[in-house]
Amino acid sequence: AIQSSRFSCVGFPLAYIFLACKKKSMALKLKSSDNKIFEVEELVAVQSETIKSLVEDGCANNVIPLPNVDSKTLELVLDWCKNHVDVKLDEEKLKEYEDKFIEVDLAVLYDLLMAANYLNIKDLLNRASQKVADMLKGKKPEQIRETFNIVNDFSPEEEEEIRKENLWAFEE
Amino acid sequence: MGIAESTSKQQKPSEPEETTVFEDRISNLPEPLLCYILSFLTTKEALATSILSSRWKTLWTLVPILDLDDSELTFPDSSIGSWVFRSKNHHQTGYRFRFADIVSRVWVLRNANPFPLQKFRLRWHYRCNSIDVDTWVHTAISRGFLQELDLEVFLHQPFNLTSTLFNHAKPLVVLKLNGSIVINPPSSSSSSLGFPALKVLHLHSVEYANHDSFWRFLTCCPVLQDLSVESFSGNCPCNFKIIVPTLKILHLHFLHLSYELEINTPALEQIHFRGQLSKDVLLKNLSNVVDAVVIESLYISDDLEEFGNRVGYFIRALSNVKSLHLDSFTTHCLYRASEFDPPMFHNLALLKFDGCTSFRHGLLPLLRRSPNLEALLLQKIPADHEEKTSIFEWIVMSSHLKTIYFKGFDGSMDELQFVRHVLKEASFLETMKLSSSCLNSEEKLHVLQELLMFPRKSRTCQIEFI
Repeated sequence: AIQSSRFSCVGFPLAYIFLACKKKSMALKLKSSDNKIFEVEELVAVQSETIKSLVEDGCANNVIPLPNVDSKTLELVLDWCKNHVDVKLDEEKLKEYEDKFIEVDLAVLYDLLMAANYLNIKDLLNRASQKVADMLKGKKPEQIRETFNIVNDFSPEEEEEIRKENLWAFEE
Repeated sequence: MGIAESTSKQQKPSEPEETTVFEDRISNLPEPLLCYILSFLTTKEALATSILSSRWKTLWTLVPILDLDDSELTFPDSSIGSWVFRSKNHHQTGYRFRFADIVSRVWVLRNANPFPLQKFRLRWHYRCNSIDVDTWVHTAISRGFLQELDLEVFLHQPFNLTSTLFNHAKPLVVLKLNGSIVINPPSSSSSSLGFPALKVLHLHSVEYANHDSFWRFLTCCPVLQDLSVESFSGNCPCNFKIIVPTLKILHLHFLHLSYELEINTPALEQIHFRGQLSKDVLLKNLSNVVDAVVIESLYISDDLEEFGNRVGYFIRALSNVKSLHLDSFTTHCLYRASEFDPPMFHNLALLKFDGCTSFRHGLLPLLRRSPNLEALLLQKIPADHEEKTSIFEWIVMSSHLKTIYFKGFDGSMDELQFVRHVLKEASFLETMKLSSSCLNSEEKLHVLQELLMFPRKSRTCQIEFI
């Protein structure tokens, strides 16, 4: 029934917008930076505050372009959103899912961070940030640099100076 | 979606390194995002990143959070059996740390930052100084942007928190006070005082200046949603009068009996009571509570009948709950109650019974008054044959029960038999969930294989072993 009513409205954009507002579980179309179209339920997509405000402003009747998110990342992000539609479902299972979800290599983790930031999905942003923070925690500077490929541009004297200034923070 | 997702998830961190090996993507993340990541660290951990590269040198000062904990600087010295200050004898290296000096220094370094502080968390257990704490709190709130204040301080002499708090902490959303702090709100009830935005308030182990200090404090919080009160010493009797129309979540933990408690919270959804129920408890307007936990802790010598009546009174006020969590002692008391007339729990869908005894007088009467129960969590099944049979009969009769979660399963013959019987006779069961802390994964697999062989009356019934 939803399918047919959508088709019948193609020629009447205003009516279509009205429908978009009325039907809560309507599908939205999202377009990734590499031009792939993802069709998702509105309830799933509006966990992104960015998409939510587009929907509320009535700008979601056509395909929503997401030029900052590639299809690989968008697929992951939408999977996260699908699993967070009803958070009260089963806390244990959700935690299990999240822990598994975030076990990705660094490149993917950065993509998720940037996507969660751009799409404004708070729980995903928090989980990804927490993951990076955990990798920074309790490690020697050399270890952190190696993990993240950070180039040390300090001279040995400069580095010693910084260490001295806040010696307490560099104790292990 | 499934295939792409599972392949990308299964990549091990070491595998795709060729794509990242020459790239320092983390340092190129937008500054606000990097600061956000650093906000998940304590200030000490965040400061330690300043040595990574010039990009990171001052990043930590842009984080709008100070999170300082003196236990990060101490270590347990097993030889003297207590905590000592790590830097105590570091004279030979030419420096020593005092927590107060460190915090003062952090303030100075951070002050170069134009972004005002939003969150201040301080844990200070060893040689805490009230003047310093007061000064820092004053500094943190005086710029007028602080949203979260979280203090845990221990002193010989409890101290009055600066009255500035009541005048200038308008944007405060979260306030957590723990330890040697005296709650003493200014007596003037002027509307310019207080916390117009405060949603979360935790008062743990604090002291109250007067009998009505707690109540006066709450009147300063007109939009409060989440309140947690812990009181472990009854030295100064207090009246915990909680009349808050906006309150949704309430946690109470009392380890003494010299208190009065009055709850009148029409919007309350969750209540969590732990500890000892005093005789002066008055409950009103709890009909919206959907989620309740009642865990009574008593001394053996206590009068069980009296406590049973108190528990009975408490539970009667919660008859609309959807989820109820009781421990065995609570229900045991309930059984001893002389005047408990249990209500029908028409909405009760989930019952967690966290006990190993008192099935006959605790669990069974509750089950019989919960006609719509959908999920039952059990720690243990009774050893007593008659009790076991009664529970089994109730399960088989229930047409609503969909999930049984047997948490303390250890795979004994007796338990396996029980599970087998239930699976064989229960027509409406959808999930039989088991978890065990004493079986290793091999034993679990073995037991699971055995369980899966059992005949099931409900064909859709799933067996989960976690």
